[in-house]
Amino acid sequence: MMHATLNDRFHDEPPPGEPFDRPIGGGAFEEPLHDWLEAYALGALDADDRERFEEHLPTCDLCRADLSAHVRMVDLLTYSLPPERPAEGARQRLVATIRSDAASPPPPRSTPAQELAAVLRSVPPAAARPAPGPARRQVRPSALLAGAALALLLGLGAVVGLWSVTGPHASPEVELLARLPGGRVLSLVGTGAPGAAATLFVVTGGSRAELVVDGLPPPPAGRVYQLWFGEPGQPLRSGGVFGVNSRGDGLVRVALPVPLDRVAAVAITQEAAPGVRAPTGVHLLDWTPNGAPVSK
Amino acid sequence: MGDSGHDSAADGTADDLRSASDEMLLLGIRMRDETALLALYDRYSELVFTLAARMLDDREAAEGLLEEVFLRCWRGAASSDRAGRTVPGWLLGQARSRAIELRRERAPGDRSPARAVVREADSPDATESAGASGDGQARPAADDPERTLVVRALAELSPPQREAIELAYFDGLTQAEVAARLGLSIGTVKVRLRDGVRRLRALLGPTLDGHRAGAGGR
Repeated sequence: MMHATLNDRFHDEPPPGEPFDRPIGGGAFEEPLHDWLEAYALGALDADDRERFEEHLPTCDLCRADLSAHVRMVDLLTYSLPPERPAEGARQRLVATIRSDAASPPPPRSTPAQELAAVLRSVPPAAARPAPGPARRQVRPSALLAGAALALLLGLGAVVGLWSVTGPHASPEVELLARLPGGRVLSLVGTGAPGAAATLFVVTGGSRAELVVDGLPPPPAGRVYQLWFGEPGQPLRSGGVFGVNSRGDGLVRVALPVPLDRVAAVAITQEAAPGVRAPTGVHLLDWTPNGAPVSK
Repeated sequence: MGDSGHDSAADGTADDLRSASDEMLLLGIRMRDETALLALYDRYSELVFTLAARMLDDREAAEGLLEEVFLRCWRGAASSDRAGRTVPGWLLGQARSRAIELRRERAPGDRSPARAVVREADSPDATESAGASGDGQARPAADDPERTLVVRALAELSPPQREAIELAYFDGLTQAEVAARLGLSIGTVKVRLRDGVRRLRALLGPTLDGHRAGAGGR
């Protein structure tokens, strides 16, 4: 975002000794602090200027609004370097260090999902989604702990890794709940779209689901992708249509047309917009319990 | 990345977490699950090490720095003081700050580049160049879409803008130090940095903003 004031005047490089060489803040004019934003994001301000800019930040909505975008962009610069891989021994040294680190608690006994499952297992579903009604439930310590864990998770979910080497992700709370008992994580694979993959995260009972699509080419004009669900002995039913972005990534909220415990197949086809009642295209990606082809 | 020589007890579960989001892994780290830390390490160690090796020009020192960064993450810093940065952004920020400290401890007053400024952005074949593995073996990097985009964006800058940005970011120089190094006025360097970063943001911003926003069905 460009800003008025002195920015336009400095759009081109000044000759040596011209405006920017004057003392900042005390000369005939004051260089706008917003113009320090790029150098600050790069970490190129000296200590005094950095301190002054950090005093300015809380008072300036403009700078705060632009700063995170600048920092995210600067963080990308490392991607321009030829990648270098550390020696295998570095990982082993890290393991040894954290196991002997006095500042660390003892090693855990289980995975995060198991740890959270242990906490959430004793909590009624209402802990995750408040139940309506005036009745006040007696709150148990385990419920408090689960609430704290979920609140932590939801808080963390506000920060999304936009530039992740692993592509798009489901909402953290959906991913977590899908990995807990009663949830499902289904990986859709196939040869219809080489290099593409999709994962369906379904929370306990099927009340919420998200489809994460990675590497599916944007469909031609007038075409959409359509998600299908099958239950034993029944024709496939539509789970909705979706698109992907220019990178082939998609994150789609899904309403299951089939009870979760009866889902026997999931498939993705490409169809004419705005979607069709029964699949006509080939199954680009699909899932079945035993990996068998999905029957239409 | 890192598929051999891993700790046997942790490997199976670290593999299980390969599809977990960064936030899930941080949650696991907060719960003291070392498999979550190793999954995060497997995901970003190469990126962090690449920056550290570039800034320090010393693989052994870079591996030590890599361990420091992930140890700091293990102790909980990544969960508490990220200030809105992405997880890889926080890791890179930690690595860069520590690398600058190490450079200044190693050679006080020496602000010379750790390595020659990367010039591959000038080459149309830049994204086809090879990186180095832990064994010193070259490996193709052409299939990394992030790298392709960033290299192309950097190639859009004027050479003086690119040089100033690379000296500031990869060599940890302040704008006054960049000016001294290049024999330019600080005003000239400020303008090059400012305009270069703005140009990069204009080029990469739509990609960043659209990376997740383009999905339909929401």
